[in-house]
Amino acid sequence: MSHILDALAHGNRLRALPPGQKLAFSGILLALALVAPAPVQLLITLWLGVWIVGHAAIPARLYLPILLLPLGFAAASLPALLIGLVGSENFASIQSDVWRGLGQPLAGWTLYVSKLGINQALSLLTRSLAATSAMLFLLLTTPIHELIQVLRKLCWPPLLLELMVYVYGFIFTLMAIVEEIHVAQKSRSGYISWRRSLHSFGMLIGQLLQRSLNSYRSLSMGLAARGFRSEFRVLSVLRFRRSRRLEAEAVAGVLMLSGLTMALQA
Amino acid sequence: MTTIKAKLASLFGMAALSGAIVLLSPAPAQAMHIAEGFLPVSWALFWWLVSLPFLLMGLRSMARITSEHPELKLLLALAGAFTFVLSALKLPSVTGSCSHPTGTGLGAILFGPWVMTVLGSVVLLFQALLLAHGGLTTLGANIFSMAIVGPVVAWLVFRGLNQTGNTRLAVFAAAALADLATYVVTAGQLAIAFPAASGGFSASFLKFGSIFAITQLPLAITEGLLTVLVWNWLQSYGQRELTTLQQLAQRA
Repeated sequence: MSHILDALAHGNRLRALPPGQKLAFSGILLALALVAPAPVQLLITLWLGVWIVGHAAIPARLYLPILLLPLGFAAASLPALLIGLVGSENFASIQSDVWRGLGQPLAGWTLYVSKLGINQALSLLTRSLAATSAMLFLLLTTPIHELIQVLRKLCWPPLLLELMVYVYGFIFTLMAIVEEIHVAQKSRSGYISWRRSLHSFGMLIGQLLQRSLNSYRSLSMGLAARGFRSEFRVLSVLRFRRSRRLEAEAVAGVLMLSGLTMALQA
Repeated sequence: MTTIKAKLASLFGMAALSGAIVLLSPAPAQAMHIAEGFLPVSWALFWWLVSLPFLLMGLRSMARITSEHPELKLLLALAGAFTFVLSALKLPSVTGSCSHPTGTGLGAILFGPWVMTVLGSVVLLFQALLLAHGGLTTLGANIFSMAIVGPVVAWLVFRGLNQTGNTRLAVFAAAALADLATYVVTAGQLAIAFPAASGGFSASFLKFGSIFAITQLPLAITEGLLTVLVWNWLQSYGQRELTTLQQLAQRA
């Protein structure tokens, strides 16, 4: 998954746009998605779908599963929102909230489907969809190291950004180690059955830990030998190209959506 | 000979436990990360405001440590990447499920709670950006439950129980309770944001809490046991790093 998202971020058609613009665009839409009424949230979802699948040329069969992932979380929490439990003697007092009640009380308790819960669940679904698409726009079109460059200009704490650069780098080192071990295990009959794959997985974690410590030791020794006292800086040689047409579409769309939000809330 | 036996035993234990984790983590996806857009804007903002001071304090504490030992930045980053990769490993194995170990317990024991706050936040950010787990607006809430409350609980439990001399028990309890604390806080965050019509916060808290308890209680125990095994590995292969880290954690 990590590889797929990162590969898309590096290879999409909006890659050449300045990362600051993309960050601002998704930030504004994210904020709008949180405060706007449901119809605007659905519009945001659709419009960002056009940006991601149309303008950035991310295949829809890759985009849709990622977009629907948060709905899994929503689905897991839905029962807690929808179903209410109330003592039978108090049932009359919450009558206004009951959409469908269970006829027969169970041991003095009545189960019912809550109207407030339905409203909460619906607004949650639309908000979640819109906000997720705004976040996905950023992470599918902008590689993380470009994002970190922008955050550096925005004066984020340098130590935090430095840590992010290192973690990002190590993630791919460790992923490569995991893949190596995985191939080695597969070629020696690892993961051939359910029980075998559990054993293999345990070995994988232990080996990964050991290899991580080893690579840290050699890295810190190498750095100490070179008198490392401060931080790594990487020269950025990327050139970005602005696009008049897309800028116009973004500004016009955001203005229209905010206007619609205000009109619907007034 | 005995060391080989011990190694085999811990390997076997690890295999069994990770198996248990895979088996016991059922369908509800992302039960721990609050997904993007899930919280109303006021609550998302609120949790960001609560988390920021802790994050800044953690950064200060980390800056103090790393100015003396700059190479430790790399060790911290490696720990973060390790946590991230572990959480990413879960994805292919169970369809739709990603109830994976948080790793905050071990991190808090090794690095102290303040450093773990920063490290946990970075890992959470990457989980949002690279795996689309959690989100940017809900990052504040996730940081509070997973990178602040979890580590602090783990640290306190570890400090308290380690005095009894049983380090393994202390590690187990710290990791398991940190996990549990994280779930309780997450359930609380959802309950405040979505109070039930009848019974308000407490009824809603019970509902979210019981859904989480089914999935996460066994997971907390397995995470505790897994952390003990990783601790054993560190004892046998990373003794040098372990002592450095513990001295640092005392000073931080």
